[in-house]
Amino acid sequence: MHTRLSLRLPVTIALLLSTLIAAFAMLAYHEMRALAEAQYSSRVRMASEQISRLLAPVVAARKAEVAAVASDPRIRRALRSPDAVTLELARRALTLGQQASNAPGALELWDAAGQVFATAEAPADLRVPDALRVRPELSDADSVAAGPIRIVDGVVWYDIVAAVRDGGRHLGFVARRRPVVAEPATVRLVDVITNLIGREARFLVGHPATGWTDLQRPAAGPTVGTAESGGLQQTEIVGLGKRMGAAEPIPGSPWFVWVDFTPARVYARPTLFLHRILVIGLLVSMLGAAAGWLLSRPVTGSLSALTDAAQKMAAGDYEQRLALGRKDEIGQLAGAFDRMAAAVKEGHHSLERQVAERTRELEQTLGQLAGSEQQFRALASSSGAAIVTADHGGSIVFINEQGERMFGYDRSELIGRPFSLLLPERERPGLERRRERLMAVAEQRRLGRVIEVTARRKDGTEFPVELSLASWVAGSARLVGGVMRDISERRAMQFSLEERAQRLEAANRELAAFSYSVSHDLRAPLRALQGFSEALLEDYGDKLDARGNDYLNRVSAAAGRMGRLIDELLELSRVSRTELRRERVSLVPLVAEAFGQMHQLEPARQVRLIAHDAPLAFGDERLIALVVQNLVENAWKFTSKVPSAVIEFGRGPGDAVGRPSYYMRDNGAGFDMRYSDKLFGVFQRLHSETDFPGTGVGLAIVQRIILRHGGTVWAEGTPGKGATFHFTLGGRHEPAGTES
Amino acid sequence: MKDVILLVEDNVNDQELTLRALRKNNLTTDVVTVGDGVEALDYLFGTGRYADVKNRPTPRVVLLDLKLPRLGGIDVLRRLRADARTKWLPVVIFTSSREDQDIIEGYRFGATSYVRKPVLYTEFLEAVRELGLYWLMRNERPPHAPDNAG
Repeated sequence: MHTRLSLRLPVTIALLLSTLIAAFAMLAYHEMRALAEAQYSSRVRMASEQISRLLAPVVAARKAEVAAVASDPRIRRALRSPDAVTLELARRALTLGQQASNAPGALELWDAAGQVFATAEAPADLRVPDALRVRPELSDADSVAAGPIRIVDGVVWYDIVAAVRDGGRHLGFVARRRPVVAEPATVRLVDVITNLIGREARFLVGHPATGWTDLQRPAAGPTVGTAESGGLQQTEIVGLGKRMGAAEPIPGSPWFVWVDFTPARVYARPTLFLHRILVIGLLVSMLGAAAGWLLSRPVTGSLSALTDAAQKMAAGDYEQRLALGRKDEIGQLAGAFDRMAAAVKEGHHSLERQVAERTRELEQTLGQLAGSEQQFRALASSSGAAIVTADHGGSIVFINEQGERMFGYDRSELIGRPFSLLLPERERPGLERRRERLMAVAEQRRLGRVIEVTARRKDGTEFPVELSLASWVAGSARLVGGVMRDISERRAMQFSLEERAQRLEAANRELAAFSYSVSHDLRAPLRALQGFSEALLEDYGDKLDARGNDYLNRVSAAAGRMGRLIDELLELSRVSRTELRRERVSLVPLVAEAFGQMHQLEPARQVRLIAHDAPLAFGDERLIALVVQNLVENAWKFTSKVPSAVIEFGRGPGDAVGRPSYYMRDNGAGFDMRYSDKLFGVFQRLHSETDFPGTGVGLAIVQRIILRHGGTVWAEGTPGKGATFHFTLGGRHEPAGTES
Repeated sequence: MKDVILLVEDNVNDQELTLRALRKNNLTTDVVTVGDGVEALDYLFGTGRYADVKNRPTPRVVLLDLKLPRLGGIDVLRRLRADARTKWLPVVIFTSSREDQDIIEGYRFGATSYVRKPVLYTEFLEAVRELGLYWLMRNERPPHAPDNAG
């Protein structure tokens, strides 16, 4: 329910106040009712007691009258010995008694057996009805008693009965039948009582069982419950409705006094109070509502302004500002609203910009998509590979031209057929597994690797293909694409490559066996040749002439040289065959070590070594040491005729891809650049053996090792000026590390 | 008992050169020369040709060639190392080769030392001299293994 805030506060206040007042009124009303009941209860009791006290002597007087008649001797005599004379006398006594009271009714004389002896009627027009003329009753204990009220033909009657006794003998009764009529005495009494209890009250005399009278005529009274005395008794009275009253017995009689009020009378004041307080409450609530409205008007006014502004803003007018200028919470709220409005305006603009941007991107993407679709078609048709796309169930939905050619099918024969048609029976389960695994993966992805499977053409021939599977989601469909490449040629090439590798392997094994054999068997005869020529020279040198000695020396030297050649060839073979174990290698210490070895062999020579810092190399340390050793040896050898020989090692300019290069320079014999291509050949020499001894294998070993590392080696030289050997080591390079 | 060297060498030239080198270096010791691996084992274990030979001194050192007829040097070495009597016997491989394969196998199967026979006579002399001096003079022979009391 949409209730405006400006109404809600006053209504709430009014409701609150009226609820409070109503609650208070109800409580107070109930209290007051209880109070009123108590008040009236005591009032009624007091009244009934007083009335009872007023009536008691009247009753006693009436009883005394009758008792006086009953004690008349004439009455007793008539009953004792009834005859005409005594009866007449008794009748006179009765008449006298009747006349003495001067009230309507009758005096009757009854004998003990229940016979009427005599009657005296009052001279009034009110005669005793026959129904009342019944045998009087009196308990033995009483001498005189009032009887119950009896109502006959709208007249209230009562009896007073007195016993006639002679000594202890019961002779009969004198009964007075008396109506309740408006005698002057009674009227006075009623006036007195009425003054006593007030006109709003009603008082009755009587008994619930027999009836009630207001002392003048019959009256409606309570029919039950007067016996008990106590608080105010509420009772339903025929013809009058609810009454509240209390009863009090009249001493010396079987009658009660009943005083009652209407409940309206009893509750008049609480009811009046209730009415008043409700009127007051209504007024207070209205006042409260008015006050609330007056109080809330500035707030709701601002809120209304805020609401209006917000509604306008919701409608798209972002220029709404409040600027209330108030310092209280409303002012802060308005300030916050203004800031929010500014932010919304900014956000709205930025959103519009973003939407425009996204739209542009989307259009671009769509354009690209269309482009990529065309691109795909173009690529697919020009591709050398067969491209096949299958749907979720494995049915072919697309195949490119190369696919048709490769498998010998027409496109129309394949679309809608299972993908597995392109494979021989034995390959199908494997492919299915792969396809299912691929489909099971939620996101778009390629199956990890390319696999090689056997494919089958339409004519049943089989050929090897390389297959890669990919899966993607297009709308709600899940597709699997396969790219197949005919690898028959590659297979054939692989076979030939494998064959060649095997042959190479065999050749290597042969080479190894050859080297092994050379190592063992070729050296033994040389040792014999060398050894025995030397032995001959030792034992028989003096028996030969100079020429004989010379010849033997030549044999020995040749054999020794051949031994060296064989050793170096074996070394070359070894560096070709051993496995490369790459690690970080520091070159400068290797240079220093090789230089030290040379120096130890020829300590007399003066050679200076200059070793610069150089980057760490990455290669087989043992082989690189061999490179360094050969280069140092080479430099050492070719500087042997230079007085101040210098060997220099350091870092070169590096190669084309930034790998470090190293150089070893000497100021020795140098070489003619025209023959530089021969420098690294086996047994190739650019100088005579006599000038510089050597086998011509050292640089071949250097080159072999460098090449095995994937590096290059080259030399620069000038005859008589020296030579420089450059090399790189290929492979991974370590630009970070340098040597110290 | 006189010191002996057991020379296991099939090449008669190398036999002669070795003996000459010892002689030249004044290493006057008895050299027992056998021409193949089987004979070497026969001598050391007193079997075959050496079954009835009473005077069969345990050599101070065995100079063992690798390429031998019938039973190769490595196999001889394995048999010697597998037997308690010769488990600790000093065996120096003395051969032409310097191939990695030979050196590795030699040591793997328990060679005491590996010395390559040089081609150059002077170097050969030097090698034999060093071997002789070392194994005959310097080296303390191992005690008999406990279960080889005979």
